[in-house]
Formats: sequence, structure tokens, C-alpha cells
Amino acid sequence: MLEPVNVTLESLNLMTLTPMLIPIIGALLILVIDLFKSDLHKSLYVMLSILFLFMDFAVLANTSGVVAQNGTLMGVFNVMHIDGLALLSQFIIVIASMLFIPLALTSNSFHEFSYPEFFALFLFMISGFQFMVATDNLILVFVGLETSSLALYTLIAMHNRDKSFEAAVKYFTMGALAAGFYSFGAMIFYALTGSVEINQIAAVLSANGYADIAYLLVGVVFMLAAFGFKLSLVPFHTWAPDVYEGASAPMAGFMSIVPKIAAFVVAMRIFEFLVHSGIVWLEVILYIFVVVTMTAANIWALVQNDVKRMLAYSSISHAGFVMAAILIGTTQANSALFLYWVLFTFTNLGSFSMLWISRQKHIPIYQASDHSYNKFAGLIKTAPVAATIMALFMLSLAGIPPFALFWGKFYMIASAVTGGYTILALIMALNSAIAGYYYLKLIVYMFMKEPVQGADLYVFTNNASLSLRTIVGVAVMGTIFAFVAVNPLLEFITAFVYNSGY
Amino acid sequence: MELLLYVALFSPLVGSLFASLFGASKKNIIAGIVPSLLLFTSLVASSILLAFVLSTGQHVKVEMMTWMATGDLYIPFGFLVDQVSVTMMMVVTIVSTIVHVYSIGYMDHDKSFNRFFAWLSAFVFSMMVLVMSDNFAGLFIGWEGVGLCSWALIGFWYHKESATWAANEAFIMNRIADLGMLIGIFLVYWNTGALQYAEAFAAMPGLEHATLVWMGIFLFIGAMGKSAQFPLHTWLADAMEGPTPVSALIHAATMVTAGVYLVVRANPLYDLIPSVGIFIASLGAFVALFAASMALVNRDMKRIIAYSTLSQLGYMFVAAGLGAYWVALFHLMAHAFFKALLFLGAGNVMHAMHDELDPFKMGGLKKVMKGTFIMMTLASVALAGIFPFAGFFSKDLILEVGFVEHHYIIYSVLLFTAGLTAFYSFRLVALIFHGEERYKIFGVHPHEAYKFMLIAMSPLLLLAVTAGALKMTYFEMVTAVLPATEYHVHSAATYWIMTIGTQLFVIAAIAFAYKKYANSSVKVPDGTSAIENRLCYKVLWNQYYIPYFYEEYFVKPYRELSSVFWRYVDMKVVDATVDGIANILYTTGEKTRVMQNGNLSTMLRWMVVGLVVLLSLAVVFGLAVRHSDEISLFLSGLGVK
Amino acid sequence: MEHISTANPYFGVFVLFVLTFGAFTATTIIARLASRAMAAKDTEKIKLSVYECGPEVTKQPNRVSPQFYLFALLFLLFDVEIVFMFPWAVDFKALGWFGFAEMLMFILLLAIGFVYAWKKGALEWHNIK
Repeated sequence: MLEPVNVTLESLNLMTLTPMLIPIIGALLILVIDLFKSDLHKSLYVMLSILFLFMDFAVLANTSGVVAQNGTLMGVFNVMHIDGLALLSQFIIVIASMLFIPLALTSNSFHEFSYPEFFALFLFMISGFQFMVATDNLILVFVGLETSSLALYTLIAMHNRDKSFEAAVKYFTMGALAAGFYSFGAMIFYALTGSVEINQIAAVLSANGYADIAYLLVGVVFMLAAFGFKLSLVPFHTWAPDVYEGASAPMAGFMSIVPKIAAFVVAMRIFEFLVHSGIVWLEVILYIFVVVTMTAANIWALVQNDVKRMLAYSSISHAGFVMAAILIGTTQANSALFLYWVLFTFTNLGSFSMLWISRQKHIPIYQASDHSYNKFAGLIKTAPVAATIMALFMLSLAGIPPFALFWGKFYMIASAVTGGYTILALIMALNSAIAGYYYLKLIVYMFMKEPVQGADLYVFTNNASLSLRTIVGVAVMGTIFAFVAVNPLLEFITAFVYNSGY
Repeated sequence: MELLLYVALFSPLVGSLFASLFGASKKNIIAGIVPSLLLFTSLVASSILLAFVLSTGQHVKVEMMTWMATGDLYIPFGFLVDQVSVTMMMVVTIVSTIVHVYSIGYMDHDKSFNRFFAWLSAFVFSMMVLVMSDNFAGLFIGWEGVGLCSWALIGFWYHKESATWAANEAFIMNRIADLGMLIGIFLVYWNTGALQYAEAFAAMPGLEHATLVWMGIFLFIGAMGKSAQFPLHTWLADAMEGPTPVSALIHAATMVTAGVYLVVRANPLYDLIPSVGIFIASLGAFVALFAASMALVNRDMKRIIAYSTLSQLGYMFVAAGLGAYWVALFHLMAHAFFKALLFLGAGNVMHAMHDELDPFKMGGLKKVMKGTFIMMTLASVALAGIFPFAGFFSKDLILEVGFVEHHYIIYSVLLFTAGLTAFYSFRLVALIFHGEERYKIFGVHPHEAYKFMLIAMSPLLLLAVTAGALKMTYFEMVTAVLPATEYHVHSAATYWIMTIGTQLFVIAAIAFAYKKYANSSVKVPDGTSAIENRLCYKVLWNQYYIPYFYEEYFVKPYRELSSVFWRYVDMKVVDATVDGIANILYTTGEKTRVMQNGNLSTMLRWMVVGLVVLLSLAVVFGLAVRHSDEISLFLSGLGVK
Repeated sequence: MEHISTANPYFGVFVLFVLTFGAFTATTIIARLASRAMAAKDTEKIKLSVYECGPEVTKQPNRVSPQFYLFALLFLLFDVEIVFMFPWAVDFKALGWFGFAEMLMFILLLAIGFVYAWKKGALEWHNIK
């Protein structure tokens, strides 16, 4: 007979769990509402989702106050691990989700939003991401990863087009492979150290002086492959363009931001202690990853004929760019990562929202795909405001000062230089130049080409409901006035990152 | 006080944004009134700040935010209201408020009414940033901002080719100068480690003399561009293509004085390098004479006033170069008032004459345009420096400075120029308002401007008449931050002889102008009269052939060179290289995009390939670590270290 | 090599794992080679079309209704639930009220799922909304 387990409520520290529980409760509520009263309008569900995300946000803000005072919070048998990194990434996750979900309120009705399940899955997914970042237990990371991924596959498929099904199936299959890689890597770590908690693993490894380096590296390789998939690093990126193209524009934009920040945080937790303990191999491999991902994705983006695919490759390239922070591993670099991602959120939110606004129900003949370049030809003549806004986002993505992403790139490259990676900084700068080329290509199309004969002139006005306009407005504001916010933001971020010891 | 500072600074911006909301829509009077009201708010706030600074002698300093902080670079974004900047704020807000109100009438019939106010208010905001900033970075932002707004406003009627040309010319000339300015700022930062005025100037005495000279020279190059000093002066006259209120605000009262402001601001620097100061003063004196001479024969009303502005800027630089910073600033202020008045008057005349600019085709307008006539005459009197108008106090002071500092050549040049100034000012007045009514030949029916425009101008008139009386108050206030040197001619007799002599000389010049141009025998010149065929007339008429010279010796060779470069270097080398790189990138992209063929099996295979490659690398590395001893043994056996 | 040695209690698992991996690889390779050798080489147009999921779309003799998959999935869910409840029941006394509360929560969540599936008609044959 076992000793009776005595668990007090205080020792559980349920406060650490509340932020994740709120979206789960919200999702269940949505499901239950649907059970009792179906055929409610989608705006109710959008509002409910935003409400619960907002409550989530408020709880996070409250928790962040506690963390700022008392340091890292542990809870639920020390599985939950709420530090600055966890909070910061949850802030980004929740805010980005709040900004993306109103995009469901289009003027044209789309299949997926008529299902309340869409919103329930969306909230489940958010809680999955929150679990991923708020723990250093490899098993809980896995559970969070799978919760969010499975929800995400379904959300993609719900767009109800052939391409969407294809994308979802591809994503699912490859995701399953990546999940296998992940669990294999975790297994090896466990075999080596007898623990699934990252800080324990680090402690055991450094205690025995990294004796089993060969086995450790095998584990690291599997982890790299798993996160390479999530972060779409070359050559694990192949899913990204197809999935972005198949998913609806808001989903694609969402995918370029939220899952990646969650994966970045976990990667930061796993890889940084290894980089810092002087494993040259990992440093070299990460270096190669960063450079190859940035460069190759940029080169492929050059030859795309579809704006959404171009943006997909550009997201891959941005992810590679930001991956450099994990390689550099200084507090400055890690803060720059978060800053970059916040600014990237606004810019990508804007550009994908613009694509979403211009979404047509039926593709005209002159367009090869949903968002082919010639759809945007001569946009300045037919829809000058839309063209200007789109150009603004492109300039920001290209890193033209003073728009948002310039500051992200600036601080990133600066941190590379101070971290001693001068050549890396140079490569990053060069890649920014290459990237400028394909962003400008769209601008050239919009501003210098003649509109296609017989083009639909109202494509940019039809679908733009008030909430879509608002979101684009928020993105525009965020992109233009970033320079005001950069410094306070960076201070905020640095405080959190520094607090959690990264 | 901080709140007031922000009000003074940001209300023009709000006005600009408000007007730009209407940018694409039809003319809306609101888009003119609201910015004007906001500017008036800014004026009130500036006045309260002035009163505060005047009564307490304290400065208002705010650090709005940290603008950039990375590594050692730390640039806070701060604003400073001290005696110098508050003067500039007053000048800028007074003149711009008046010009705004005036423009509501002047631009009444213009299609792009709303756009005009958006840019005009944006200009005021940039100018406020320029004068209120407490560091070189902020100054530079404002500097670029006014440049941009000036470009947009000169080219406001962009459908006119001459206007766009003039706008581009102004922009490019300023760009050349801004490069100098930027180098100057870099030098300051490099050597003092700070961009704040206070810190940078505090560190300067410890620097090498040569470094300081270079700083002074480069900063002055920037000032030369903005203040249109020789040889970068040609843009100012061409800038008259813009709407007249713009000329009044930007190209007479405010922006062009930014260069003077910079030199005054940097007075601790220029005090350390008197040789550069002498150069500035000499250049100023030269420009004063040079511009005045061109104004003598010009037949374009606005250009005459523009040249006169140039000439007066020369005066200011003389004062600043000789270390009489407060005198320079005082003349800047007085000049802003009467020159803006003169321009606005010219605007009225232009409106009355349906955009006719040649004063020879006017004449006798005083009967129909009484208000404008009085204002322009008084403004010209002030410009000529007749007691007791503003110009007398400020301009005579500069002459005295030259005399007391024993720069007799400068003094005599300036004295002579004062005569020329009086002559061309009254030549203009006489041609426009007196004599025969020559406009009748051209079938024009002139009319007076709106009453509210004249009322709007009246504060300027008041200031132009009375600003001189403020001299001593001003001296006491501004010398709290500027070197307090009083310039008195030592013997009373010399002083009186000088003053009265100058006055007599000026009055004689006026009388001569009236005699020559106010009579009924003036005809519209047709290129046949004797005077027009004289060499000196031609030289002056063609602006000393400087535009011709620029065209012939800079623009044409440059164009030739450019075409050579284009044909051989650019097409064959640069383009080929760039295209080559682009092609390589493109082909790589095209070749490798096969990797992405959309086939799920291929994609999975790629993932596994990546994993296997990484795995084998890991194994190789692991083995290498494990057997490092054997490997090194083996390698040493092969003779590798 | 301290951790992984024959003395390690998990060494047997590791060996098993290696063997499984080998067997897996071997089987796939053999299966592939075999199918390549035995398959009918068909170069019909429809087979070479872009959509890649393998076999030709032809009539299958015994088609399985997708309803079965759904049922299998639901079965799996509740099966796992029971598997989870089993150790809980064994250690019920030791876990005490805390364990009880946890299990209640777990069952509540599953019950919501169950009601959801029921209401959506997933338990009825051929009647998926």
C-alpha cells in the first residue's frame, strides 16, 4: 500500500495554470453554446474568443507582476515553469491571436467561420501554445505541441478548398514525422540524464562534463530536426509554402507568427545551454542552419509568382534571421528576437490581412493563383489607398527605415556584432538586401504596371468589412509608429529576458 | 511649462495631419481654418514660454524619450526652450500664423487648398523641431523636414515644369549642403561623444584646433545650403516658383534663416575658431553686395525680394561671423517681420495683376490698392533701415559691429549695400505703385485683396515698425546664453556722423530711385534702350552668368560624363555585374525550386535527408572526439600537425 | 559511457529499439523493392497526374465506410480513458481527495466531448451533420 498522497492547494500554485485554462474554458463554452443553440452568428463567437483571450491577457499581466517581484514561478508539481520568457511569449501569442481572430468577420461569408468549432479549436490551439512555452518539461512541451498542431491542421483544412485539404494532409503527415523526431530526441535526453526537465538535464550533463557527447549529439540532431520543422528551417521547411498557399490568408499569417514564437522559446530553452556549454558542433550546425535558411529562402522567394508563396518564403527567411539570436545567445540577442517578433507580428498581420481583404471567391482567368502578382498590377490606379498600405508593409518587411522591421533587423544585427559574429552580421545584412528585391517587385507591380485588362476593380473594397479595416489600421499604426515604441518595448523585453536568465 | 512646450511643438503637426485628412477631397475651408487656429495656439504657448523665460531667466528642458540606445550610441530626444530658441519660436509662430490666415484668402481659388495647408503646417512643425531640439540629431531631423516641406511647396504647382524644376534644384542644392552638415555632425559626435549641444560644446575646448576648424567648416556648409549663400545661392531665386505665402514664410522669414540659427547655436564652437568666423563674415559681406547688385536690374517682383533676402542673410552672417551673435539673431527677427510683410504685399499685387510679376508692367497701383501700398512702402522703409523702423536698429547695428571690430572693408561694403538695398526696394515700390498706369495696356483690372488678408498682415506691419524699440530688452534677454558684447562706437562724434551719414546716403538712394522710376516716362523695357545694352547691366541681368556658368561647366560636363559612364561603365560593368548576380540568384532559385515540387513523399524525404545528414555529421564529430588521440597520432604520422 | 552500458536497466529496451528500427527499415526496403518488382507498370495518364496519394482511383471491391474510422477513433478515445482510470482506481486510497477531484475533472472534460459527439450525431450510422 502506498503512502497517502497529500497535496495542498498552495503547493499546486494553480495561478501558473490559469492562463492556459481560460482559453480551454472558453473553447468548451463555445462548444456547449453550439450544442444548445446552433445557427448563431459568427460575430458572437469572434467576440467570445476575443473576450476569453482578453481575460487570458489580464491574468497574464497579473502573473507578470508577480513574476517581476518574486522571480520564476513554479507550479503543479514543478511542471509549470513561468519565467519571463514564458510570459513574454504568451503575451505575443495572446495579442497576436486577438488581432488575427477578428479577420473572421469578413463581408463575404466563408465556410470555416460558420462552424463554431473553428473558434473552439482556435482557443484550444492557443492554450496548447501557452503550455509549450510555460514549461521546461519535455513531455508537457510535447503535449502542448500536439494539442496545438492537431487543432491547427484541422483549422487549415476547414478552409474547404482542394488546396486546403492538401495542405492540411501534408502538414499533418510531416508534423507527425516531426513529432516522432521530437519524442525520439526527448527519449535520448532522458536516457542520458534520467530527467525530462530541461534544467535538470542541463545540470546532469554539466555534472558529468558532457561525457557522452556522441549520444547527446544524436539527441540534439533529432531535436533540431523537430524544431527545424516547426520553425521551417531549410531543409525542413518544405511544408511551409504549400501550407501557406493552401491555408486562408489569416491562418497563414497566424502560422507565420504564433507557432513559431512558441517553438522559438522552446528551442531557446533547449539549445542555449548547449551552445553556452561550448559544444562547437552545435554552434557550427546552427550557424549553417541560419545562413542556409536565410539565403536559400530568399533566393526561392525571388522566383515565386504568387504573393502568398513569396510571403511564405519570406517568413522562412525571417525565421532563419531570427534563429541567429539562439546561436548568438546573449541577453541582447534574445531580447532582439522578441522585439523582432513583435514588430514582425504587426507587419505580417498587415500584409496577410491585405491578402485576405483581396480574397476572391472565384479566381479570374488572368490570375494563375489566388494572389498572383498580376492581380496587384497597377493597383495604385484602381485602389490607391490599398496599394499604399501594401507598399508600406512591403517596405517594412524589407527593413526600410523608419518602418517597424527596420528596428528589429537593426537590433538583431547590432546584437550579432556585439556578440562577436561579425561575418554573420554581414550575411544578415546582405540577405536583407536580397530580400528587398522581391518585396520591391510587388511594389513595382503595384505602382508601375498597368492594371490587367478587365480586372476586378472592387476586389479591394468588397471584402473589407469594418473589423478588417480596423485590423489593417492597427497594423499600419504599428508599422509606422514603431520607432516611438521600440525603446520602451526593448526595455520591457530585456527586463523579462534578463530576469529569466537568458 | 513642459505641457506648453509640447503644445507649441505639436499643434502644427496636429494641424498638418488634420489638413491631410482632407488631402484627397475637394477644397474645404475647415482644412485651412483649423491649422491656423492650432498655429495660433502654438503662438500663444510660445508667448507664454517667452514670458516665462523672460521673467525667470530659466530654461525649459524636456527629454521626451530615448530615441536610440544601442551600445555606446545614446541619443535622447530632447527639447530645449532657452532665450535663443524662444526667439526663433516666436518668429516662426508669428509669421506662420499670419501666413496661414493670409493663405486662406490667397489660396482661395486653388484646387489643392487642403494639400497646401497640410504641407505648410508640416513645415512649421519641422521648423519647430529644428529650433527647439537640444541636440544635433533633432536639429538634423528638423533640417531635413523643412527641406522636404520646402521641396513640396516650391513644387506645389507641380503641373508647371518650371516649378518642379525649381523644387528639385532647391532640394538637390540643399542635399549637397546637407552632406556637409552631416559630416559636421559626425565629426562632433566622433570627437566629443555627444550630440547634446550642452555636452558637445562643453567638450570642445579640449579638442585640437584643426578638428574644430573642420567641424566649423562642415557645419557651415550645411548652413550655406539652407541659407543660400554663395555659391549655393541659385536655388533661392528659383524657389519663387512656389506660392507667394510660401515664399514669405519659408524663403524669407524662417527656413532660410536656419543657417544663421545654426551658426548662432554653435557659437561656442565658432568662438574657438575666429578664422572661420572671419571667413563667414567675408562671405556674408560678399553675398550682401552680390545679391543686392543682382536685385538692381531684375524685372521679376518676387525675385527682387528674394535677392534682397539673400543680401540680408549676408548681413546676418557678417554679424554672426564677427561674433555678434545676438545682433545676427536680432536682425534675423526684424528681417523676418518686414520681409514677410513685403512678400505678402507682393502676393496681393500678384493677385491683383493676375500673376503678372514684371513691375514694369504695373505702375500707379496705389490708387486701387491703398492698403497694400502703405504696407509695402513701410516694409521697404524698414528694409532700407530708416529711423525709427526695425531695420534701422538691426542693420545699423551690424554696420557698427563691422566698424567697431575694425573690419573696415566689410563695413564699407555693407554701407554701400545699404544704399543699393534702399535703391532697389524703392525702385520696386515706385514701379509698382507710382507713375503711369501701364497695366492698362495689358487689359488688367486690378483689385485690392480681401480685407481679412490685409488685417492678417497688420501685426507684421506693427512689428516691422516697432521691433527696433525692443532692442535693449532683447539684448538683456538673449545675452543670458549668447556672448554679451555691446557694440558702441567710442567717440560720440564718430557715431553721429556714421549714423546720420548712413541715413542720408540711404535717403539719397531712395530719392534717386523715386526720381528715376516714379515718373511717367517709364516704359516697359523692350531691350532697345541704351542702359539695357551696357555690359554691367547684362552681367547683372544674367545674374553674373552664374546659372549659365553652372549650366555650362557643371551640368553639361556632368551630363557628358554621366552619359559616358552610363554607356561604358554602367551598362558594361555595373549593370552586367548586377544583372549577373541577379541572374545567378534567379537561376539558383529556378534550379533548386525543384526541391519544392509539392509531392508529399519528396517533402518527407527531404526531412529525412536533413536528419540523416545531421546525424552523420554528429556521428563523425562524436567519433572524432572519442578518438581524438588516435586521430592526432595518425595525423602526426602523416606529417600534419 | 557510464549511463549506457549493459548494466543499465534500460539497455534491453535500447537493444529492442535498435532491432525494431533495423527491422522497420529492412521491411520497408524489402516491401518497396518487392512492390516495385511485382507491380504492374502502368503509365496511364491519370496515374501520372499531379495529385500524389498513390493508387489509381478505381472501384474497390470492398469499400469501407468512413463511419468505421470515426467509430474507431471514438473507441480509441474512450479506451484510453479507461486505461487511464485503471491505475487511478488501484491507487485510489493513496491519491485521496486530490486524485478524486482530478479524475472528476478528467471525466467531466471527456463527458463534454462525449455529449458533443452524441449531439453532432457521430454515434448514429450514416447521419453525420
